[in-house]
Amino acid sequence: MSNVSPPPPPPPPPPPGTRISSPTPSEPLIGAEDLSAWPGTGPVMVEAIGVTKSFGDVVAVSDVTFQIGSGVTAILGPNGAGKSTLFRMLCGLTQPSSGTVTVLGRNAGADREVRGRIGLAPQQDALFDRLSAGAFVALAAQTHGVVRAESRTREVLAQVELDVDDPKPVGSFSKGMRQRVKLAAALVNDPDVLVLDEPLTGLDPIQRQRMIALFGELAERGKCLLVSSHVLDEVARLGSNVLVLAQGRLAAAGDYRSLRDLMDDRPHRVRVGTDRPQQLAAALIERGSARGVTVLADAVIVDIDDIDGFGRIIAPLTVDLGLRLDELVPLDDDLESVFRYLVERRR
Amino acid sequence: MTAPAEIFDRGYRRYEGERTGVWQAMRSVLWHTIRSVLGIGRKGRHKVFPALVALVAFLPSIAFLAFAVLIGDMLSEELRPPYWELFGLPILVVVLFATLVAPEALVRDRRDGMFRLYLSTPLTKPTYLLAKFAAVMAVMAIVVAGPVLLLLVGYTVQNLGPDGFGAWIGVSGRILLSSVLIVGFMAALSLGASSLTDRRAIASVGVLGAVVGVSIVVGICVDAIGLRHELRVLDPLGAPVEMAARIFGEVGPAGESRGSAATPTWLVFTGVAAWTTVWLSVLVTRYRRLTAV
Repeated sequence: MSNVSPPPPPPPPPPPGTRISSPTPSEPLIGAEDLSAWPGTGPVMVEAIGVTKSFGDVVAVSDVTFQIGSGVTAILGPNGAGKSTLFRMLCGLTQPSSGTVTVLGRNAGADREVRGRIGLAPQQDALFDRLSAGAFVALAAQTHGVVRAESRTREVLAQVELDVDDPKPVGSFSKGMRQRVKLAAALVNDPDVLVLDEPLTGLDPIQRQRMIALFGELAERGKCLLVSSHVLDEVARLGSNVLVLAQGRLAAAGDYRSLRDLMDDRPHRVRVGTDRPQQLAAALIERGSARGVTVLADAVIVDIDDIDGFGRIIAPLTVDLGLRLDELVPLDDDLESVFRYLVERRR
Repeated sequence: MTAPAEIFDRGYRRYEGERTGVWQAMRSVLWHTIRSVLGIGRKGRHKVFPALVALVAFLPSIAFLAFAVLIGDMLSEELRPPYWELFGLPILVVVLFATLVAPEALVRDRRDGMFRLYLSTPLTKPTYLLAKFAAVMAVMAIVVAGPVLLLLVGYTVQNLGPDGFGAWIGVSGRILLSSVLIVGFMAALSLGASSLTDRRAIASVGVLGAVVGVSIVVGICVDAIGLRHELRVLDPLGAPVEMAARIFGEVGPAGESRGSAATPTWLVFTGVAAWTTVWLSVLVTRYRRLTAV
């Protein structure tokens, strides 16, 4: 139910000297009731248009444009790619040097109301170490203006499987527990947009599974989750929509499997399991069906340009050669390969 | 027949309740800061320093009251200190308190990353700073206004207070006005100095330097170098007390000079206002430039 749109056609450039302005506060927010009915193709919840952020001579984010709807979207990129800067701009913590960032149609930097509908779980520890989890989350609830702070605190802590009555200060918590406290604090205002910077770091496998399930549930309820993670196989489990940042620029946006298909300049790599790999490798080279082959004991790793065409010829070929075809496994259509290709291409 | 059963939904629950505005957020930050500074809800050792400072700040008032109780009506008016002097007697303790309060209120949020989280709520930098300012003022008021008000109440109980209700209200008003101005001055100065660093210890030293250091420099300029005595209005230790004296219609030690006229009252107020403005500008400028990273 997630939707990441590739950059829309660029808007006409403003006349020289014109500042790109944010929507005025009088423009309506998307109502929570509308979001709960998000069909997957409904309103854009987060939008960046031509966003650039510089710190002196350093350009952290450069001319980034994208639109995101409800569901889970992973923000990927190597260290220094601009992910955290982008998150800060989305949350209104810093303003772009140029361009506009809007959340629910508003500029979070200038609009208090929309900030109340964003939940942030930053990568760095942002906790009062001496407070208990309950006290900390209650404080977050109060600063968000939640009236039933106590009962809401109880609910969200239960959601992340922490005890509201546990008097231990969060300073004594494990990394995973602290992560869950941060997540509870991000959820306490029932936000429509959740910005989660490395939310799975430090969690044990069971907790990771539960958090991923929770993210999925939130996405199904029409919330927009922006998640950054370095663990790509976890990102793949969160969903298939990604924004890839490299060197401050948007390298790609959309379903990573579709992105892989778009990478015509990269040969696909397939493992073909067979009982006579040398014979199969020789035949593939002889017929020009492969760009390169690597022969293993029980398989051939084949680099090919046209994966669909290869799929059509491999079975008849093995029949012709009298070989046994054990398996045909694509090796590089996973998220990690897509990410590696995209990022390497930028270097 | 089987027993009745019920399956509870353990999934995510939306918050359908009421949401308040920014005032609730400010109140929450204010109250949390006060609790944090005074060690409320923390182990006993965190309460020791605030309690000790408060006790020392109250000691002169307690001593005068004890004296009044022992001697009673025999305590002549000449032996009783004017109320404004009670702002001056524990002034170093007040400064010491400021070195604890402001860094705790401001620096910790930046170090812990809480500043970022606060700004991701309906709070803005101005409303956040306003809440912090109010919190620091509230805490500082304990050691600034508390001792003087205690003395007023004690003297009143002992029949040594102002004559008549009108006079009592007048004195109370002057005490409150003096307290608000002194506390505002101290809050601006200590928060401004604390905003310049992310280390609490350095912030404390900075606050101390901004008060005691500048006071020493002003003292050297007037007493050793022989510059005009009106320069004392820039003394962060003396000027607030002098201001309180003027509010009570008297001239304090910082406004007096042998052989020359007392410093004009407007100049005293201008000196305090100038420092308050300078440090508030430092605070606001620093936070305007601060990115919540």
